[in-house]
Amino acid sequence: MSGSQDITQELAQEMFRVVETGVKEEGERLIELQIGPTHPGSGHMRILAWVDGDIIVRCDPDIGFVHRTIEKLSENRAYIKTIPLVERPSLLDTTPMTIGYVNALEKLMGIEVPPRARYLRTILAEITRIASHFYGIGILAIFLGHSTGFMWAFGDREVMIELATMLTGARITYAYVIPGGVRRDMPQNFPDAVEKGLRYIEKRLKEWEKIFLNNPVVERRLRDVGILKPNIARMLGVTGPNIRASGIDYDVRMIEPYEAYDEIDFMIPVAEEGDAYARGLIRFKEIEQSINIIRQAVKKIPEGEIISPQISRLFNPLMKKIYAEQKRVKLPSLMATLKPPKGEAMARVEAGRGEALFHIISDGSTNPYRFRFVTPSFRNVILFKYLIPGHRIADLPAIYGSLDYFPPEADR
Amino acid sequence: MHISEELDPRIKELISRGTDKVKILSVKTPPPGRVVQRNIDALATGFKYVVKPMRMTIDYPYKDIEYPDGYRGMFRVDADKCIGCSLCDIVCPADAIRLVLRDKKKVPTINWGRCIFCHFCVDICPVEAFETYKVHDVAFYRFEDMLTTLQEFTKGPEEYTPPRKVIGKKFRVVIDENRGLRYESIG
Amino acid sequence: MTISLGPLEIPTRLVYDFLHIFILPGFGAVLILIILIIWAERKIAGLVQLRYGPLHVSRRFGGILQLVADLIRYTFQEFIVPRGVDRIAYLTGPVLALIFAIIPIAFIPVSPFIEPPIYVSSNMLLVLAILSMAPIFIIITGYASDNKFAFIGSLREAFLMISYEIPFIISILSMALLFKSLDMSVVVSSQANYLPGVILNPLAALVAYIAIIRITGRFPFEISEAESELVMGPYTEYSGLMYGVAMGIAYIKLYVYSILYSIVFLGGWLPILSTNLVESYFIGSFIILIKASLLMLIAVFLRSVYPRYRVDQAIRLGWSQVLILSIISLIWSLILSYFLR
Repeated sequence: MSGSQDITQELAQEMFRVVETGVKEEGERLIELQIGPTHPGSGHMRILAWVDGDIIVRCDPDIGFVHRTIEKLSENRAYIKTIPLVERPSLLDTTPMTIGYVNALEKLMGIEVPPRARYLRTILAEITRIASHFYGIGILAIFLGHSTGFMWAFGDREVMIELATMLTGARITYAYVIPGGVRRDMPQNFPDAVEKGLRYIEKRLKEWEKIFLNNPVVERRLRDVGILKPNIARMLGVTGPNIRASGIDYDVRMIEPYEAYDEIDFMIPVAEEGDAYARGLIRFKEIEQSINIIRQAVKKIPEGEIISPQISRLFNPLMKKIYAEQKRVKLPSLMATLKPPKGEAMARVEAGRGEALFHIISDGSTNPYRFRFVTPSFRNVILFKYLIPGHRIADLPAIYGSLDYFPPEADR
Repeated sequence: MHISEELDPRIKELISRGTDKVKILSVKTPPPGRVVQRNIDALATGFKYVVKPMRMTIDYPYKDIEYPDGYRGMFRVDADKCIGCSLCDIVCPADAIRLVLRDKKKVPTINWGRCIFCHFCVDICPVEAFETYKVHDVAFYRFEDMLTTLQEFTKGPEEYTPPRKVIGKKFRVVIDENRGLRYESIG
Repeated sequence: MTISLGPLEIPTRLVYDFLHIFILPGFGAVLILIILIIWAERKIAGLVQLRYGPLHVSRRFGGILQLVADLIRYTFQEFIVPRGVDRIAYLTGPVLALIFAIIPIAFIPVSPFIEPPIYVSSNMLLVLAILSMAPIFIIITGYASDNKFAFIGSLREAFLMISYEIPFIISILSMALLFKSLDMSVVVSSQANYLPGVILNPLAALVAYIAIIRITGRFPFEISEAESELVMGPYTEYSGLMYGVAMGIAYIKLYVYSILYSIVFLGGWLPILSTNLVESYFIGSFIILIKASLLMLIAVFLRSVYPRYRVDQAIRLGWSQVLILSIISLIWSLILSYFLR
């Protein structure tokens, strides 16, 4: 491994030098702009931009405004109470976060998940991924000034949220995945509604092309802006659609398949140019691939249990009756005070914005000893420092929107 | 040292494992050009919606939405069935339900300000003492009204003070192929 | 001539001047049309964006009185003057920009038989000159606010003002060349004899419309008040009634420019058939206002389709393509005026 460390150190030194020599003292030409938290174009963070005329010379992201100490809070709670907690940072794609945490827990405790539950988790994860990509597209549109793109994105996202309400009972924070399976089964009208919803989104994607992707003003704003070269992306540790738009084909669903992804046939879109337009285009193509995955999963879903037999054998007769009639999983009392064996486990998932990593260290008690999770936005925030210098002030919202950076997810 | 455009071969061999399983869809940015045609397309798409609007929103509170079955809303406890096992207290992620001692019996009380409507308590109750409703938008005038006693916890949301009056005609959300969301009136 | 109202003898000229400046097409029409146009902008944006737009204030009329409610709110909001601003420039900047945007109404004729309140034989040139002074005060407001974002906004306004006022003036003057007069009444009567200006010189019409969209800050040229980059451009530090004034400046400029455009290119008060003085005033001004409203509606519809350009892209567009098109339109006017004796 020492060979790769030499490369990274050399490249890192070169990168630091490129950026630092451009800075002069603040004076006549150089202005320090604080695009602070109370700014319409900054989100929950502060961006310090040193500007020379119209060109940004140096850019520093200032994050941490939404830090809610999720990792520390989970050290004082039982394992099952952390499931709603781990959804809260990344409010847009909540399901991959819970899947990752529960996968790590299941590895620690050795629980097997039945196939029907795995397919249900996959369907919900892809529904959430479509909703998350629509949010990213909407933010990109509003930062450019395209208010129709913003409203259309949130309107189309609403269809997905209604589908998820039918399946789980809540709109955004589902708490649907528990160790051993899922909490509820699909209702009767679900496959039909899913098909209608997916057809609607396919129809709308054609109109999106006409009004947003092929709009000449949008193309002028996004082409050749914020070009991310593949070796720099690899060195900085960028994940998600940002790195797939630079030519590197990295997707956790294909490299280390989890849930039902190894039984479903799909492709991952990869582009070569690496500019903001490619990043936006990749998100549209990923929505199409997710539509494909949901269709296959709904067709191929096997019959069976939705909760692992290791948990359902702890049901009392009333719980068994409810499970048989309503297909609703009641939690046995063991779930409230889970005591996994001593050890550690790791799991990684592909969230909407990239790869998320979950690491649980348990010391045999009801609370974890340490829970560490790395979110994709936290790994992407370094791009603010390296992509933006050299561009104009008006390119800052364009690059920010195309990176799909979500501050609460990065700050946890 | 000059950063070359190519990927360093030492890095290339580190990432080569795993890429043979990956199926790639190559995406090419469409070339620029045909500016007039694209402008006219964009304007025509926008104009189509001015002429034939397709509204996806509903003007709440003059119209009310009825959620699908299984929606996680407020709930009430049936005081006769509750055995005071405190499992709902132990499992609540937000510390909203608390069991308090009253007449040598433990009774549940809830703080609606903290509840996140995850229904872990409903699902863990071994005697199925909770009855759920599809209502979640009850408003309280004072903060203290959100901390309910057992007396109030046995009432459904229709009987809280101030009561949640039905505000408008009720509509149900239906997913439609052409319009996305369509609202059908019921009752 | 005088009109007698009981014991009073009022000269007709005074009555007409009062009506022209205060009612139609002066302040009264400005107020009503601006309320309707801003409502139409938000409603059209709502229609395209799958939602209702403003609906709550006067439900039975579709929310038309929303802007009245907004103006009432701005009037009662606290007007905060920050400490480090240059007080005189801060307080008078938007007001002077508004004054210079609305003064040209006194020069514009709306009827073939009555002269406007202030009659100058080259009133087209005078209107162009007065309208070009309004952006200067916008630049002063941005510079007077002690704010980096306002400063950048007024820099952008300065660059863009120069890039797009020149093609506009060239295209309007090319129409004056074509009709051989700088007097707007003569221009309209020439269009009655030949053809409307938009058919005689469509290139000048296109250039003038693009320039109007930039000067009044409509998308895709809403650059000096770009919300996601600079908070509100030059008007960042304004609140209360001055904020309402600042928001109104762009729409008043749109109104005046649309009237100018409809007189020069769309035939003004044609087709008008009556020769009665009173009727010709009312019908003439109504026809002009309808044409101006059509132009304003198109300019306002563009908000739902386009994002905004970057500053250097807009400047490059102005200097390379719009300016060259306006010069070509000038040459075309020269050639055509030879044939139109």
